[in-house]
Amino acid sequence: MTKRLFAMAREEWRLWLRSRLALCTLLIFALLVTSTGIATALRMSSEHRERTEQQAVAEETFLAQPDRHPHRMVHYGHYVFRVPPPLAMIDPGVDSVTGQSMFLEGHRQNTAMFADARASVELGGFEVLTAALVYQLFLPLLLIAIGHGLIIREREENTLAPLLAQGVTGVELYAAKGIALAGVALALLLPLAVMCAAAIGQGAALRASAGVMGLYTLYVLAWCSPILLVSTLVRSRSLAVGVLTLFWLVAALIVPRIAVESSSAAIPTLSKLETDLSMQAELRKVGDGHDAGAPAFRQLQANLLAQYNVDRLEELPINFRGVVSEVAEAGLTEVMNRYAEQRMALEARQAHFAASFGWLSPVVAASAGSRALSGTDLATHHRFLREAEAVRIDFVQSLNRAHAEQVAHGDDINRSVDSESEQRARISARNWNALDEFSFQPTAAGERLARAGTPMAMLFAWVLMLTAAGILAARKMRP
Amino acid sequence: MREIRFLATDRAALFWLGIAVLVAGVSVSLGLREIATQRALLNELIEVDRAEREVAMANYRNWGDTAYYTFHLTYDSPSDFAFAAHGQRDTSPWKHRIRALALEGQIYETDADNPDFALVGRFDFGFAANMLAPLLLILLLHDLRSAERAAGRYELLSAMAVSRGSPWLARASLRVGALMLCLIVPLAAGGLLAGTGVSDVALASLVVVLHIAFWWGVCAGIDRFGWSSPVNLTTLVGAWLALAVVVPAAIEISVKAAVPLPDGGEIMLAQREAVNDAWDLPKSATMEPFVQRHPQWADYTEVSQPFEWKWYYAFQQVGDQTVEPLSLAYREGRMERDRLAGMLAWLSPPALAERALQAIAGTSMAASLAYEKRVRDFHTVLRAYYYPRLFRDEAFSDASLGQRPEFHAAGASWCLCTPTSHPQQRSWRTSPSLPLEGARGGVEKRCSLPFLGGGPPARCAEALVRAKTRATGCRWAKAYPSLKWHQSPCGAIPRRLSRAPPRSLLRLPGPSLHVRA
Repeated sequence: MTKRLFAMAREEWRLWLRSRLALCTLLIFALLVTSTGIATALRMSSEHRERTEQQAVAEETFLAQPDRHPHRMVHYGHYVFRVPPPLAMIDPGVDSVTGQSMFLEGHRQNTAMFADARASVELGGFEVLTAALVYQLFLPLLLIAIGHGLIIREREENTLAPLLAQGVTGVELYAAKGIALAGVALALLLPLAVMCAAAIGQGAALRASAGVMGLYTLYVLAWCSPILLVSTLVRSRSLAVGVLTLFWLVAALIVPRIAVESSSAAIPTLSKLETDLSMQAELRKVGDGHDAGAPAFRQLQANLLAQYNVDRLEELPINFRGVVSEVAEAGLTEVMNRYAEQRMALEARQAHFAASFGWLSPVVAASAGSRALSGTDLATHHRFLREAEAVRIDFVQSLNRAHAEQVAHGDDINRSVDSESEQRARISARNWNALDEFSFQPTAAGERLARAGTPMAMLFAWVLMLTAAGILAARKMRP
Repeated sequence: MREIRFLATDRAALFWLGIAVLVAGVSVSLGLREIATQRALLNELIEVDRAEREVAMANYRNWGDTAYYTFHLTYDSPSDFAFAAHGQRDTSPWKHRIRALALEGQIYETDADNPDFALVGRFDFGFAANMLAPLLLILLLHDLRSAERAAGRYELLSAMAVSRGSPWLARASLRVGALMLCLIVPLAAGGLLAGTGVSDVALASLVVVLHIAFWWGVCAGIDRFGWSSPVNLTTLVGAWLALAVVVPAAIEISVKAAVPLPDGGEIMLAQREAVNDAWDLPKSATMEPFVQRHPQWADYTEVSQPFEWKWYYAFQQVGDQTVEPLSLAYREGRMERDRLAGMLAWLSPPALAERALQAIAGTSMAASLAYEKRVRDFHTVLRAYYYPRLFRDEAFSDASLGQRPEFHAAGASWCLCTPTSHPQQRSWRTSPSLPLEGARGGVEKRCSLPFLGGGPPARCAEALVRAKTRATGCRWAKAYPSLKWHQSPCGAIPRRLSRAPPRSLLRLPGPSLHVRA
């Protein structure tokens, strides 16, 4: 029985090999996916190298700064770069639309800058082609082109009746054709497998790479099943190809954008500027750390004086200005983080909402899953923002502590007007070592797989439902 | 007539046309909603920003602090046709909050939407008309002849026709025309709702018509081979794939390779080094390069204390000057990439049509760069406003603060010019208003203006500049503080002219405006 199925599938493959159209489309696809794959891989590996280098340079320059007033270093700031994970060569994800570097400084949370998309050219929306996109959008077209006639052809060439008369059941025929189509589809995943292997060679997690392969396997099967279903149900080739092209048009081009539109309508977020402006009032309550005399710090002053049992700020064993800087920074950060977390939560909800359109289109499910597994999704970007913030608050606060402990109050208040105080208010460059080394690591494979769970379940549901429907239709197959 | 009847009963054709009208209608309404949201957001931001500035105004009573703590919202309002093509507004910033510190540290901030959204793109009319409509046309036309052939009617119909091909031409043109209408009617309706100028809608419609006509040609070309419907459809979708996706992707790669850009990160690092190194360098290391660019402050560069605001702002300026070559290369590179892409887009009609729509909608890369330029110009004017106050250590006053430039949306940015109080320099201080609109990258050497000596009320001067600009379309150069104005012969201007100066006044032989870069 299995033998017979494979014999029938083999027949189909032989037919495709003889068909110029099928060969042409296969060849074009192979060419397209190889060239975009190589282009993406080259781009991402050069990005990887550049950003790693820039990160090292940023750290070196920070450490190489001369003796300074610690607050100068707070404003001198630091840069962190988001290094793309190895699997980004398959799916760069949000890498090109979010900035790749971020400036960290005191009192502010900056946005990531220099999104690649800004320096890109505008050519209609599909100009940045990646291997993932080629698989997600264009593999289905190829499968439609070669697969829509699988069963209809037997019907149109009047070979269906003899086949059924020979004792081949409809389900067997369906299975054989399914094996034929899925066989080609899986063979087309070969370039992807090569890319995954290359990514593993560059240090990608084995499990995540296997996840990518699994996801795309499910994805191509999710396209094979409707093609077989339509081919079983519909009696004319031109109708079948029309219906399938419409399905592709809706699933690949329309639903993803409708998902974006409805998600942005359903879950409105505040823009960065709005957030900045709306937290201004709260930030003022915390007080400006540059102004130790501000009313916001009166209580702090009184507490400190009482704690050390002295009457005047000058008598404190620590520098009150430094203390104010530290307290103000902590307060600011608390407010800023609250807003940032709110914003990230909303964005995550938006992404989740948009991804739920995967129930309507396998393309949406596959792209969400692919980004998650490649470690280039929104959640990874958010982790970058959080880790960068951790680095920021860490070095800023250790500088503020040095400000409080190592700079004499008298020198500090006179440093703007007196050169000698200015010199004395500098602290040793050894303090700059407080800066933590930053290297953005790919998300753990387990977490990525977990995030890709829902999209994979969606794809699985697509395969299951459409295959079940196809088998049902095949059972009732009549010549 | 008979063909119209055929079309009316052809359920498949009606179905595709229905999808076209649905897609176009939905895209237009989504676009209108998006633009309305952006407008509402801008209005709100403008209000909050003003309120914030007032708070800063109340809190700080010296020029240095005021300049440090006062932010100015700059923005690029969507045009009344932006609903049709969002273009660069999805990925490039169209709003900033700028202050008088080094601009290079501020201008690259991107206040973007959810990155997942930018990745997929929006469902705007440009997408519907340029990407989806060709596919719908393909679905409409691919089996025009082949279906009849398959049904065995082809030879009969051809034989009966008056001339070869005529029934097919009529049928195809009817379908193409119907599809064009399905796209243009929703667009025109959207234009009506958004108050778009007729010429914009007409131009955009022309783009749509030409683009669809191109695809009709492709369909007709493939049709000549006489293949079966599925083969026709596969080939046509393949052609769409090639022209709408593969060619643009190839163009993108080659343009990027042909025009390398300086790395953005490098600009930032260099800028930060330049600004921060200044703290440890002798003051003269900052003041010398500063004075080179701003010679009028040469007499005021004495910095006696470890910290003075004028020195602080001078090194901010020098920081910008240091990275100017890089920053300029980054801007020019983007411009060059855009120019090259515009030329190569002729290889991909969908890309060309999209670029055309974006150009009409003012959402193209060029428009985005123009906005960046406006921000830079505004920042220059802002600096020019603060420099005299900082360098001459002028007394802080609300009246003086009232002259601070405000950013205005494109088309309505004016500056006003008031004479300096310094008798020797005879230079005029530019503050809010040399009309920035239309200012070009270069510097215009002479620009006549019927000026107004004798210290007329500021408002009057402003009204005149405004009126003159409207009347002549005179383009103003960068509002550098080194503007030199000659005393005008026309003396005081009657107050009543402050609103609408008569044309005769505008025709007065005016003095010249010299601008030094």
